[in-house]
Amino acid sequence: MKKEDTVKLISAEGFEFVIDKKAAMVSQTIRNMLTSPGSFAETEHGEVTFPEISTTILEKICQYFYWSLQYASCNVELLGLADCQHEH
Amino acid sequence: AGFIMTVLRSREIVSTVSSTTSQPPKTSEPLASENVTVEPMTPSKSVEFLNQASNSSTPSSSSPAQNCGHVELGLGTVGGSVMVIGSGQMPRRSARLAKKVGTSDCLENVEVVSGKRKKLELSSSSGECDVRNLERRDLDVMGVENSVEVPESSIVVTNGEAVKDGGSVATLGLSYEIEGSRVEALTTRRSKRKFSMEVKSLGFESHEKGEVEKVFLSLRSGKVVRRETKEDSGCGGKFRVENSKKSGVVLNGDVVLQTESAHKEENWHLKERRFTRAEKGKGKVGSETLVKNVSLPVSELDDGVTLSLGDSNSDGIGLLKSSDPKMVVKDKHSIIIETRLKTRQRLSKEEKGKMKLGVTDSSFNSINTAEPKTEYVNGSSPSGTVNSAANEALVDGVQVTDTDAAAYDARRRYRERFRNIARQNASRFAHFSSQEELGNHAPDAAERENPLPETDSGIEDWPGPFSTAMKIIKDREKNNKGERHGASTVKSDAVELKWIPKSQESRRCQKQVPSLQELCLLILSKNADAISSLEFVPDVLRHKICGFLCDSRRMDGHFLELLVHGSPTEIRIRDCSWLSEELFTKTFEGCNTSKLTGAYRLTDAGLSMLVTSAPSLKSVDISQCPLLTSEGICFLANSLSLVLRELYLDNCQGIDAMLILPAMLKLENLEVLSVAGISTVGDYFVSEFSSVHGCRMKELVLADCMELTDLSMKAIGDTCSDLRAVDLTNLCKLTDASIGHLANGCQAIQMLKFCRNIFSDEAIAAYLDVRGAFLKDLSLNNTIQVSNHTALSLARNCRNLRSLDLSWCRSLTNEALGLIVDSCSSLEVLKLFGCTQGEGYLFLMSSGVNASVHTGYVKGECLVARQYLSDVTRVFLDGHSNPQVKLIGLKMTPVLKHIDVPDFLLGPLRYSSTMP
Repeated sequence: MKKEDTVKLISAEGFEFVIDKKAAMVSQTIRNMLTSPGSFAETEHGEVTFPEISTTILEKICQYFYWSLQYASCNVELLGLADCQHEH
Repeated sequence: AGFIMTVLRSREIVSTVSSTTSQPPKTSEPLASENVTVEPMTPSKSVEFLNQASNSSTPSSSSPAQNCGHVELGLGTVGGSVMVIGSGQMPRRSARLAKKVGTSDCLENVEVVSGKRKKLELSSSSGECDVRNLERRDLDVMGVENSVEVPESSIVVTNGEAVKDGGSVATLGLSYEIEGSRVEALTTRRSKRKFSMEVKSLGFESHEKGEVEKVFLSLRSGKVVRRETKEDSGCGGKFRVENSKKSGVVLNGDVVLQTESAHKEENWHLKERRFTRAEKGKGKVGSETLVKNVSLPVSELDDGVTLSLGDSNSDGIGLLKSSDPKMVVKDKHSIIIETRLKTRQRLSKEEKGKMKLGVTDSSFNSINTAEPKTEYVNGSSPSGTVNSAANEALVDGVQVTDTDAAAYDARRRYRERFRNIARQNASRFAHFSSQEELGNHAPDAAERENPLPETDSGIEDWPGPFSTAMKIIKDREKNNKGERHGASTVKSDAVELKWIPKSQESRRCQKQVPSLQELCLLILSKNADAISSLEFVPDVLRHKICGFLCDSRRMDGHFLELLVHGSPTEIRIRDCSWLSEELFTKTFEGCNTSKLTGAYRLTDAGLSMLVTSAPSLKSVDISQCPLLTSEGICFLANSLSLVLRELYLDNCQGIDAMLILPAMLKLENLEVLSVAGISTVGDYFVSEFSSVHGCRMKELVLADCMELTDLSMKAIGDTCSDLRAVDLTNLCKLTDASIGHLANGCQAIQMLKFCRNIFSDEAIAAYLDVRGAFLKDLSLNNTIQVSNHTALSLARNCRNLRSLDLSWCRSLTNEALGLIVDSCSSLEVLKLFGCTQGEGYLFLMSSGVNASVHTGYVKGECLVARQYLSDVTRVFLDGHSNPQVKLIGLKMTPVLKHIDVPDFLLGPLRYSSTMP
């Protein structure tokens, strides 16, 4: 993955999750941060810090992003809702 | 007929028989698979049997069972010798007969027979054409019915008791077949009700005895039926229900037996019903037929039979010379007899079918018209629905006249019951003329216009925005009319509503991805018992979890404790049916808001206690509490006069609006009032109320307050300038003037609900032109005059519209809908129930629309709608660029999504913040 296609999400403990930009755009907050006309620091570095989100949560969130992309593009029946839940 | 008499006395044996009936069912099971060949029983044979039966009344306990077994086994055998079977059966039958027939009345005999028939059915003794067997069967059946045993082939409870088991029903049917004529006779009698039953009994061989024949007829498919029913092991419960509901319908066990093609369930039900009916009818019919059969030669029977064919149900029996005039099933009965008589042998299926058809048809078509139609083909029965319908029709038509003596009390009772059920079911066949219903509004409107000339003129004269808009629209119409002289309708379709679907490129229908929050909440609700604490969980999420739990009915005290722990600010529990009163009182002291919808046991005392214990209630929703009266409301109003902001009194029928008016006027902070369904609310109430509170009112729900007229709307328009939401459902006396008042007076309306009003297209369009910009939620449900004007106005003005309900607005064309959806860019929810604008109802939505479309369909139109829906789906999938259209109402889509669920993000109060 090229660097331009990725975004780094940093959890409270400092773990860094590098994910696809498209995946990160699932979240409206991140999307606004990264695409708004104003100049956010995040826009430049492509990094977003979440000091209040723990690592495990953030990991699950990233998984959700990818699952959401898959869900929207594929047949629902193929995936089933269980995919995301089984990971618990 | 002598033997008949003897048979009659076997009534008391029923008990024994019943005890033994259990056995027969078992034996009958194997019969199910056997080939049911009903051999016609010669009259002589039956006579013999009867004699024997009567003679051997004692050993009935065991013999019946055996007999049954015999009978059942006889399924395969062609007309197993009567004697053979009879021997075993005789005692049984006699017992039955003895039981059933207390008196030597023919009827009793018949009853016995019918009981036997049932038994026959149960035991599915196909081979036995023996009338006696039938009789015995009937006995058994009757006994069985009484008994609770539920062997797989459990017998239909005689006397209307529910058959335990579908299988038994089947077997019963089979036995009927086997039994032969007598069963037929019995069944035929019952089959009057049971349209399908008769059909089923097509397979019956004809016996000399009408009853047997009936049985046979009904049992023809018994084999098949039984198989089917057997498979429907679960039908037992159903059967019971069926019985209870349609006891009347279950004329004859025979009828129950449906041909193979019939739905299993239907068959099963029918059978049961038949059996139960058989109970009733059996005695009657059976007796009748028995008498006939026994005493009359074939020819004689013919007489009786012929009559039935063409006669209405009520007359049928009369034809027969039976002494029982009551049996309405005569038609069938006679028909069956006829069939039987004619053939005397195995009836051809077709014949039987015809017979059945004729009978059932007659009963089905009308209560009093007997038009035998031979629609049924052997082995093919009408759909279960038809059967059931027929049965119901039969129920209606059956006029069992019970003239029996005390001996027939049971039958009479059953008949009454069946008749009552028939009466209840009759409404189903009542012809509903929608025009009638709708037509009522028109005269009202016309009437209304006259008494309120001043209002109308007020609207017209006052140069308010509304009247201006109206004028514009009317002019537009006139112009269009002038231009297009040939236009037949007021709306100028071509000119006004040209709308071409914009995007033609295929667009992926984007699915709504469930949010992570949703997924987590689902998991939480699935494992709610594992949640140890709900601390720090925001209220919104709590409510959602609670909602999920209530929906899946897993809400319990444990979760309630979690909710209550730690002094929450708000608890919302959707379904409190599990909540006991003690728990409730313990938990809900010190509430801030109280929403007790549907607390149907809440009385004034309870309400006052609630109010005194929660003196700071701001919102009280006591909808659907029928025990509340005006005193309770007055008390409530007095105590909460300073704090109460929202009051919902929907459908509290015990409240008189005028009595609570003074109390209402005291509520100083009231913002929301809902008096939906309280019919005593009149113009005076509204005008007084609005004069006092109008300045503060934000929401008024006046649904179903039929007495309201334009005057109240004028009052509202004059005073309630800050009104945000108005619900005018079902107020059929309101005219366009009301809309004018609203438009001119209430500038801030965001939620507007019309339903079944008679406002005209132009008026609504004018209103939208004036006030459409603020509207967020509009419902034009069933305002059938909505058409192109409204569509144009919607498209032009309602940019903020989020939810639109156009159900039943059938004057809207495809283009109109497309235009609306295209133009209302904020549209999220579009409800289109009942919009069956024909095929090809496709409207493409172009970019920018993100909506979920709810389209439901009414039962009768489901086929049409389905096609329509599928068309729309295709188009949606293909045509639009952005909109996310979810068609609710298609198969596999949840239908309940459109039900308004309180928005959890809103505070408990709709219009004020709860923050102190």
